[in-house]
Amino acid sequence: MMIGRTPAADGMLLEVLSRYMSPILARSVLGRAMSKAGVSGGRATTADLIRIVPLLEDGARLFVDPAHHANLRRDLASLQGAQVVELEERRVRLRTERDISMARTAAREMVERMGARPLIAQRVATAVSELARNIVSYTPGGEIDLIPLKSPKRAIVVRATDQGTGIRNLDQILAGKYKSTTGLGVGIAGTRRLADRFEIDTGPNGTRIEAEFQL
Amino acid sequence: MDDMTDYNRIPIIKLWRLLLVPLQGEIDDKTAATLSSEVLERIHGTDISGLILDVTGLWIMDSHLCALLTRLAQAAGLMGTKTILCGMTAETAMTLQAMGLELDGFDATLSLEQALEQYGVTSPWTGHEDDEERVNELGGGEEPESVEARP
Repeated sequence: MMIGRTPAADGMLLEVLSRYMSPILARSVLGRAMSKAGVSGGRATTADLIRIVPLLEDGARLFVDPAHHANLRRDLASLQGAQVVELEERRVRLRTERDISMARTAAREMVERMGARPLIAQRVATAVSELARNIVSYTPGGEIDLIPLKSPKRAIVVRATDQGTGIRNLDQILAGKYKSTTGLGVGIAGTRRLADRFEIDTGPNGTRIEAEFQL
Repeated sequence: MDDMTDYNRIPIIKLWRLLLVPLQGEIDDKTAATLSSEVLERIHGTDISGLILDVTGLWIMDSHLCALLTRLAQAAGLMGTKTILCGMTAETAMTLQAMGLELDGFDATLSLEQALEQYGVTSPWTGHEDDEERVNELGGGEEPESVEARP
């Protein structure tokens, strides 16, 4: 980490916050974090960042869309001179409803960082949401792996694996002819329509679905 | 991770004889169940003739959420209340369409204003060429006579 005595840290923090909220809100969030950290306005140095940034993250949480929390954290970390991590595979375990929202948020963050357009980001996040929902609702548990691909084209592979008892009437579901009251069929058939490549392998020991999206 | 339950409570706003529900945040099953029963109770207990579900604040709508909103609209329909959904983003609409999802049970409008118009609520500034000027003339506190909320 670089430690200096440049009083420009306030401005840098304000600039980062303003990417995620209105300038007025950004100023007030920054002001509160700085006063909590015991730094007076206009006096923050890069040495103070280590104390201000965690407070800022807490303060900003309320005003920033949960889907953008990780990006904000990354932007703030990069001010501290931390290395921005290369995109790597990510696994989300699925047991409860909250895991579903973690999975789709993780998917959106990943593809946004890969430079996907909003429509593609939405497609990927929705597909992940569908696959995650099925695992949580109908199986004892499972996981979703998000695998970024760089070549030959930028893409993301979403791999959903569960240890459930498999999907019966898969053919009907994929043909869009099966409609449960709970929406199971809609989710799988819909994901298949959204994806550029879709593979499913299901049996009594579990199900594995792979969906690929080009960005 | 801290508990977000409290932030998840969805407000139900009464506008004359309409109920406006601005959906936002992560809607889990518990939040959804609470919302549905509260909305239906309000429809049952008060003189409500229309329900508006505003999805402007949702960044994602999956089939589960659509099923949930459809059930709410259908239940409201059984009680004689029409539902309009407004504020869907282009990305969401295109995604739902690509998935082949159909939203039965309600009409949709682009904006909240259009939803209100469908219920016969008219803007007090309609017909004036320069809306902003008119707003200034009326001032903030005055109750314009032309505001109506018809069933």
